[in-house]
Amino acid sequence: MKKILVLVTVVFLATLSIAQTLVIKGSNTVYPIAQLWVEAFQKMNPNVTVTLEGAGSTTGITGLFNETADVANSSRFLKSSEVEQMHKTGKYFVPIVVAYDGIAAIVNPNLGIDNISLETLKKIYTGEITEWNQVDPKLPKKPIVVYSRNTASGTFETWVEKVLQGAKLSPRVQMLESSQAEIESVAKNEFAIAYTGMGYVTDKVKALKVEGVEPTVQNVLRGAYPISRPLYVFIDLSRFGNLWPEKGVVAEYIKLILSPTGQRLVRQAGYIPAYGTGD
Amino acid sequence: MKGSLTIFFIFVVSVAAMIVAAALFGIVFFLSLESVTAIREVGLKLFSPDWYPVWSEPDFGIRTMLLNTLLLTFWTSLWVWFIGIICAFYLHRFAKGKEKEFMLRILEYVSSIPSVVLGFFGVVVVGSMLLKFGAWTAQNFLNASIMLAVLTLPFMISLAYQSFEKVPREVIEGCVSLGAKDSHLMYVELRHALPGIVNAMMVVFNRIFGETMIVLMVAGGANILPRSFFDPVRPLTAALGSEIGEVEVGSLHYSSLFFIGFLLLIGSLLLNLLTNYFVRKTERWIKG
Repeated sequence: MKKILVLVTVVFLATLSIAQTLVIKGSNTVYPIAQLWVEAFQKMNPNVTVTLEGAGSTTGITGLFNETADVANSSRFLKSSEVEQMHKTGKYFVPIVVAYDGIAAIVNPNLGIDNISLETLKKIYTGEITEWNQVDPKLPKKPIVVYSRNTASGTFETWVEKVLQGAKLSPRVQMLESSQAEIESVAKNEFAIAYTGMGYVTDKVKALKVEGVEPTVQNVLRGAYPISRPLYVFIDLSRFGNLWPEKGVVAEYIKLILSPTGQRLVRQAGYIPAYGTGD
Repeated sequence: MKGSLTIFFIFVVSVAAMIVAAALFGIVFFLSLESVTAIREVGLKLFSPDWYPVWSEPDFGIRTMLLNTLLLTFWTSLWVWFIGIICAFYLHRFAKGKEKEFMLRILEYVSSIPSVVLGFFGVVVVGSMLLKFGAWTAQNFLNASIMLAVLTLPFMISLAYQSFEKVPREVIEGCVSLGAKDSHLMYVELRHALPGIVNAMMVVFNRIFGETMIVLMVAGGANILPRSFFDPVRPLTAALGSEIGEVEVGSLHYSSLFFIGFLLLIGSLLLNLLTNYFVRKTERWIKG
């Protein structure tokens, strides 16, 4: 009996060490791209077990710190506290810009508004303006139903930085747990406003022009659209002896996402490729 | 052989019991340990109304959320208790054969729905309906209250029903022979079923108090005190559920979230003690 147990444990441990794994964690915004990458990656490397989690940029970077993730997707750069911690623990995270994302302000298609200024957006989110007719006298005198992503999301952080400029959100703003929930809520409520990555915008909602600039691929690449940001993938070089990994699962994955195939997948997910797509 | 088997059995049982006790104390200890930072650094400001955990000048006030939790729990419990007891009495006293069986079966099915499914239903179906009835936002106090009631009513009804069923026949027959009407009978049965019903009420209260998924999805997530049923709210459990997965380990925000968890646990433990006390008391009253 004992012998069998030992044998089972040994076999189990052996399979664990042979099977290759790749754990990817991080941003919700990068998630739809990462899904396509993982799909393509598994077709090329069927013996690698890939797990993908999208719960917010901070989870990915935390995952790199406590070594529960190999690759971190992030919609923001490292915070200074994270850089400090990185130095303290002797780790070396490298940012790779993989795509660009514009954050679209979305409203219900039935609401008679097409353009909004950054100033107004800020006023709406800080609670200075609470009714639609204060935005535009032609609009109905109805309370603005303001939705935001929860504080954990990278989209939220960028929104606070680019639109609120550090000001505090009005407590009336409703926190939602996912971009999908925002789209659904805005699609159902005629007087709602929310923001989401351009990749999530569907026909059910209307993306507003900001300062007269439409949230399109060209405008983001030109730098004309004011609420846009690069998306990153982080890997920890200290795990590869502080050298760029040339072989292994992580190296193969990075090669794939930067290749024209990987960048075409970025476009397919609704984002803007950072490198050439080969066409 | 038999002796050693018994000893082995006693050993297994006592180890299991010790593990459970250790786990409970471990949880309380761990939660209080992690919340020490927040208590020391934020202090009484933990009970201020503003919750801005990730801004450069953060606020870690949980008062609004605490009040929202209490409001939502009390209000929902009240109507769940009321409807639950009436339904249970109906099932016990008036429903016959097929009808009773059907109702109990339905309750069983409803009680097995996971709360995340109820939350989704609340967002998609109840939310849209409320919008048609003039609510300004789909996720609001009333929506959360309705979904919490759907979650807990089956427990309330079936527990109360079981306690009604346990009322001795002699008591009922004695009442009837003394000429009691239905309303009197209900009163007598209610008093005899009281320990079970109080227990059911407390189970429901505790369940609503700690429920996370439903309030996270349908309560609205706005840190304001509701002025109407259609206002969005954010109870403590929703904030905890929303933010704990992302928070930087060891930060003040992390510690404040643990303080919320600590508070919820203490509340829940106190409620359990209170339940035990009430049940004992009412049982003693019945036995005379």
